[in-house]
Amino acid sequence: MTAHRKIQFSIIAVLLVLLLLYSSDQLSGVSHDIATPGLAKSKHWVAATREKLRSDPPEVVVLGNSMVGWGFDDRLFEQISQAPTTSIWRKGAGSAWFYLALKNLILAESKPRLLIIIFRDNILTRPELRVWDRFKNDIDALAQDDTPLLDELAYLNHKNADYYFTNYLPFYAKRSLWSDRVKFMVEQYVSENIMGIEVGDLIFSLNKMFTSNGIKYREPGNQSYYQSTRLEADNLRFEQNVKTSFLPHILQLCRQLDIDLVTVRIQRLVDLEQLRDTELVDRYISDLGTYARQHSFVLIDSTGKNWLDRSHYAANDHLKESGKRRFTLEIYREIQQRSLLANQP
Amino acid sequence: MIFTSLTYLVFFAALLLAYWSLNRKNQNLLLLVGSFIFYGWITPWFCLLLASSIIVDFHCGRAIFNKPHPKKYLLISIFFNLALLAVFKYCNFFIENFIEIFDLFGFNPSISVLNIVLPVGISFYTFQTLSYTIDIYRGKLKPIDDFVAFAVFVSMFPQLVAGPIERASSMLPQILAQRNVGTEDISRGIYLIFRGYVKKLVVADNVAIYVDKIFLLETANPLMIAVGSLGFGIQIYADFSAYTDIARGSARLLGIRLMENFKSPYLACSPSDFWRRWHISLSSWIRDYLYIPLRGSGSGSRARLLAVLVVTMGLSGLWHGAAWNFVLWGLYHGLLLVIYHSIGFSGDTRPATLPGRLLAISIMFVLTMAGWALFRTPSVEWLYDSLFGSGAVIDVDSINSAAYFCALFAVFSIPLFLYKLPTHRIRFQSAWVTCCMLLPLLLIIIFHQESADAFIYFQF
Repeated sequence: MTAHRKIQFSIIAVLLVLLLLYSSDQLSGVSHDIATPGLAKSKHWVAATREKLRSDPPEVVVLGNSMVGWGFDDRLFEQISQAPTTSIWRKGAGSAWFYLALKNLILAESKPRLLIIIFRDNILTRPELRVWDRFKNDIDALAQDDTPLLDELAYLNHKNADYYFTNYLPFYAKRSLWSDRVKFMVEQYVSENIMGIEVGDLIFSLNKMFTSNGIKYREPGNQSYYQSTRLEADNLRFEQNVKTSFLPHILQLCRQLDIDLVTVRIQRLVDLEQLRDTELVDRYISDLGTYARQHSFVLIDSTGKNWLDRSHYAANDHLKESGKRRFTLEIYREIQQRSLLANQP
Repeated sequence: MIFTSLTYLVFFAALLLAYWSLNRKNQNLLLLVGSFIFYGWITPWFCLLLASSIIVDFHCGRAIFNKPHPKKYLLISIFFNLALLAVFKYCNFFIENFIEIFDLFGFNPSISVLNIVLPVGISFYTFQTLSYTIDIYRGKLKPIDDFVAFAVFVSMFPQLVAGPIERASSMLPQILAQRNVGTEDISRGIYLIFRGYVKKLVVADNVAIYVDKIFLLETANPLMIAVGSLGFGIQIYADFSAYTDIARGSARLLGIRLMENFKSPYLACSPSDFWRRWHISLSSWIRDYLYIPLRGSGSGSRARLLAVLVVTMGLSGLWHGAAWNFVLWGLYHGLLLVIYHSIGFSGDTRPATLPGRLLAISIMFVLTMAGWALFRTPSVEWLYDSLFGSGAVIDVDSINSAAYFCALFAVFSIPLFLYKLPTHRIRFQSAWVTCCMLLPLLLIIIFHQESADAFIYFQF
């Protein structure tokens, strides 16, 4: 093969691969909601939630990520507090999303009396966490005039590789869409062609099997798993990190609209089972507590309170129904003690 | 330093640039310094252990060859290396079992496990240096006088942490010689590195997500164990052979050829065939330095031969990890070897016909996957409860989940099959290189996981 032919062949090969990847939307032919592009899906969620907040304005809003979805029972809370309660959460959301959801969604449509933010570890002072990839869709769906603040805090003034990869590498920007697409196609193929069931039934089975089932960290062979929960010392310096976080901005919004803010740190299973060194985390939470007192908001640290035992936990620190119920009741009691809710059960 | 980190890519690119501007002696010096930086990147004190192993075995090797009592120096080398393993890898295992045994008899000894961190790669480099001193003792090798070259042989970063466990007879001549790298070496090296990255980032790390889900369950059931074992079989092959590919590719760019560690292991017809294809550098080490000496040179009884097989495989299991499930995994393979030997399926025996071979491969595949359940299980009790416990019920949810997981495993395994297709046909100078590079790159970009796991064999 001559050099000229080699170059021609290389160009054709590159073009074919690109064509295949760019036309993946058309080739797959899927039309299910899950398969719609990420940003559209996030916008759809925002619109639906906006409508819900408008039609049923809540007095209590619980904000967070899957720790809220699989950790807090808003119906139970509403029942015992007699205050209309809504959970606003997205899977894997970080503090940048918390801020945008509060400013551009919750406060744009309603004025709750009480805001409860449920978080784990140091997420409140990690503004750069969960802002890329599929999380960027959720952020873009909510962002309005927030670009300068997002650039400064979440995108670190573009001083990181992710920014350049996402903006200048089209494959990188679309990676979560494609990988989700593959998984969805497998879900659809397996459920419809192999098992003869609806996709929803398969997802139900997976949730039942892996989300609400108990897990075992303590077994020796699983101990490498909890090592992924270790936190970097640099990310546990509260005084230093809070200045460049969304927490002061969230506080400012609550103060402007006279909303009581309660932050709840959820206990992780690794901490319950004392499988990681907590010295730095404890110091961080202690500093957060001091900051909370100085700025008149409430910090409830559920770690070490014996609210939950290991039987309450499912995978990824999510809670089973019994755990959700217990956790919700305990949060309610803590809030009651502080007289943040007018109504008695 | 981990191969899949950006740090490694920068480190390797910088080292490579400097390496090719130096002469051989300085290349070795740079390799040595680079290897210690690589090894001590996260935990610098690990370098002390590595250095001590190098120093002891370098001097023992010379003493075995030159001094009057060679056996004494061989024993020093063996004792030192096994002591490193005993203290840093097996100490807590022994203590835990000691406590349990005493507990059985109603005693409560006041000892507790030690706070010891397992130095990565310790099982690999101790075995590599042991082979050096044993080969000198056996008269198969002459000791080397160049300390830097010996230190490079033990510590060379591409294969330091997870092998292949190289022999001095193959590596030292390469380290001592002038190294030339042609375009074929560069193409092949880059190809191997890319192949390794795809296997690790696209196959192993994605399959691992679902395998971990199963083995983290409080109790699974036999169906989920079967699916988990199948997934783990794919994961561990992709993960470990990925490490070997990246190691071989990196070494090739440095002008050094490392041995192949895998030859389509899941196409084995029998257990002995499997061990000639899986982790070849370890199984050949075990054969040469453990099995043959234990078996003895004479024609021992059949029972002795089979017992030696089982013991050797049990020890091979223990090499993998200080836990009973690894020992059981080794014994399981020992038992398979005994059964296959008993029915006349030993050595190179293969069925003559294609259907017979396919049947043999299928049976061996199922047996290998069943063995992975022992290897991956978080504990023996968990596996027992999941297989035979009252909660181990196969319901419709586990059937649905099993089908979904199997389909995902099949999809994520596609690159493994693709790499089997063209490797023997591609001329690495041709334009196919573009395709071979571009497609893996796209797959890596799309499917790599943000929270990629370390290589499985790092823990051994």
